[in-house]
Amino acid sequence: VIVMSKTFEIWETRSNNLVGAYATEDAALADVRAQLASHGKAAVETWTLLSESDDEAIEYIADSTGLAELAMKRAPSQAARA
Amino acid sequence: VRGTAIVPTETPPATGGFYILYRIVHQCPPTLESFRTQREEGLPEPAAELGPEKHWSWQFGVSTFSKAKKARDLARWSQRGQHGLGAFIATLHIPVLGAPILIVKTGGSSHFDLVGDAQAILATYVDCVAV
Repeated sequence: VIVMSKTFEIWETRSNNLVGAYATEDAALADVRAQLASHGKAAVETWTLLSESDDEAIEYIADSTGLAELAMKRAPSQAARA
Repeated sequence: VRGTAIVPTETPPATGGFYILYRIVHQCPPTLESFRTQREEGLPEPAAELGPEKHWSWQFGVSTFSKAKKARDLARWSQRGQHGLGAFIATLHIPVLGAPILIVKTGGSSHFDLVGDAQAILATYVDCVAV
């Protein structure tokens, strides 16, 4: 059995620069939430989250307002954190 | 930056006295604007929770790849899905000795941040192609 692993990357598309690389999607979304909390939606307007598998296949996850919405939807609930 | 030193741990392969790196850009030929950091582009500072490495990249880093295929695949993928990254790849030949540019391994596979004046980075540009 071959288990494919993925890495996750956030790219800033206006400057063509990498914001960060992550081992999990949740870690990437946590950074999106932190940025939203600090600066609001405009701060992730030009961010794109993607995944790359071991075979170098790239998959789109979300960008811009869709990324902001996904990050907030996936925020750990207060109950789960307690 | 914020008390954390970034220690180079890996360098890209060198050929004929040059590090050969590939950068996704929005136009050919590239201009000074093609080599802006996120900070120079006027983008918001990373929240403290993102940590010192991402803050450092925001302030100083210009993304490149040591593998042409990685840069090309990412740019092509972006073009197909209209995800906003540039549609061109600029090839940079950075002298192993004497260039006023620091090359720092950051991010994922074959990704390196360049640190240096945009003019100095632009001076290493040798070729630009559409994906």
